[in-house]
Amino acid sequence: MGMTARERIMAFFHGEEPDKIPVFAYDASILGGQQGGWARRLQARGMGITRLVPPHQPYFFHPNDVNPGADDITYIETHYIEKGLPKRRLALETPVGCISSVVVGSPPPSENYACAATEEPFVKELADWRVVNYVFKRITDVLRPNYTAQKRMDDEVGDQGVVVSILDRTPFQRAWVDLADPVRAALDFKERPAEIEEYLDVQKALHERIAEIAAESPIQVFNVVENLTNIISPPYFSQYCTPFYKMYQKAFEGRDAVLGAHFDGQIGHITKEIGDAHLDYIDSYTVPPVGDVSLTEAKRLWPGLRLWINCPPHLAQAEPDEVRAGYELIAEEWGSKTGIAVNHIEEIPVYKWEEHLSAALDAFGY
Amino acid sequence: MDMLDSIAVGVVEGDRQKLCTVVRAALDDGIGALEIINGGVVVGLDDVGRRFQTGELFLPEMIVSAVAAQEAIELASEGLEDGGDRKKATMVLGTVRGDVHDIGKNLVGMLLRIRGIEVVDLGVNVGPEEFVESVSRHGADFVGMSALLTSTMGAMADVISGLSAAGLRDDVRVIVGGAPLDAKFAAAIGADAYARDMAEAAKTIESMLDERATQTPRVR
Repeated sequence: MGMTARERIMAFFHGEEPDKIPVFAYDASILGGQQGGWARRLQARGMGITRLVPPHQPYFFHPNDVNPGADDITYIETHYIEKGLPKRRLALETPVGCISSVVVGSPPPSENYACAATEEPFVKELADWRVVNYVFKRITDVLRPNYTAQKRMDDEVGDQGVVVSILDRTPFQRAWVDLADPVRAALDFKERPAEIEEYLDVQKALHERIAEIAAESPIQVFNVVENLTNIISPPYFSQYCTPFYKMYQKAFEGRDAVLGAHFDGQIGHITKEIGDAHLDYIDSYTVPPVGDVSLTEAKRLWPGLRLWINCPPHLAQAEPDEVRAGYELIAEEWGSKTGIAVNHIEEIPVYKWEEHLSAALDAFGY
Repeated sequence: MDMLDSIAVGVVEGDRQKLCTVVRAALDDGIGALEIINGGVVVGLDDVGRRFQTGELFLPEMIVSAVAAQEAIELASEGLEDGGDRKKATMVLGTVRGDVHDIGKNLVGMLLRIRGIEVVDLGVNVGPEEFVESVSRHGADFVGMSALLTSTMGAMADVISGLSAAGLRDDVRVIVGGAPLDAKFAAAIGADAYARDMAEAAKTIESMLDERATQTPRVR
């Protein structure tokens, strides 16, 4: 009898050999509302699911969830349509000032995945960092474990897959993804005014508290949702990411935990730094030609590092045979069932999901 | 090291304060604004572009250098009529219909403006008709299109068809960029070039402008 989807995915995370290369998809964000249709058909064939649940509440994950949950911060969310685009203004009113952000969604009806982009960042000028720092100080004050929800969701997912305990972005990534635009973030991190020094202190304290909570989480698999691409430089990775990964690794010492991070783009410029970080896995790994590190090169550079591969974006519009051949090439290049998995994360249009994941299942012998 | 060299180095280092101090000193010494820009700032920017493409510098450093260069140009141009009118060409730029991602597009726009390209930024979710209308209205030399999603990159072909239908295709060079794209895709949809990043976009446009200066003009 073959492995369950959960056993297969856990074998991947632990670097053990599964019966087949795992294929899975995000549960809530991707499959939400689809469980009766194609997702059920694919799950019946062996596709697994992953559900992302933070080990703590509140969870500041812009643009999806930014309510800081502190009494002295008013959080206002306004939804509206402007020039045909759905928009959301998020305002945080604090005793030290107010900041707001506008997030824009894909135009309806959309055949894309549910994507959003920041139209107006929270940090528009240097002084806004002071408000940001206040918000994160208060989040740290009120942060509490989310173990009950994690356990309940782990039970709900059961043999179908795995709950992944997600951890907040590290400071530079958070700065440009969640808070400021890349220009503002790059300038302020280069010049390091007092506001950024304070930001770094506040983020360190927040991550220390998260690490303390995560260490007791009932979930084994952890993922830092970095969304890291070529906007980071090697020195910044070493300075602003690695120390936080080490912090979590230290917090997990003595327990059977697995730590990875979401690197969803070109990472060829930070291969050494990734190796030095000693992560257990990379999530959303992008194979060439869109990504810039081949699987062969990845095996050579990072022995033992597991790759959770995003559905290859260069095959997004390909015919089913080509997609299947693409997955067969991936399996052939990697040369083993150990340390590799395919997870549908994003980039593939809605109408292609079943075709893509089905092709992956075909290619991997399901 | 002379003052123009110091300005070029200042751009590479991305030290805004130091760079502006040197630019002020150069102006006080009677060095002309355009000499400061072309012999110092642009030389520095070229160096940054080279270092970026050889992996010596990375995006955060490049962004900081671009901002420093922009400020140096503004400072040097203060006394000039029309800010020195460094305009080399016009580009209509936008993220194609269905896509709302604009980080890459904005960085390209920033770097091109510094290099003397007038950028008409149409924003995100821009339809073919808007691109075509803007090209016509501004007499654009270039069209820059961006897409982050595999499901929206096909919309670039619609823009090119729209330009052809309007009789404008031969008047503009079309450059496309975005994470899921490559040169093969650009060629398949009939674009003139694919640019992997902001530095490559600037370099591509510079070489197209050089080509225009030396050959039979295709670009107006």
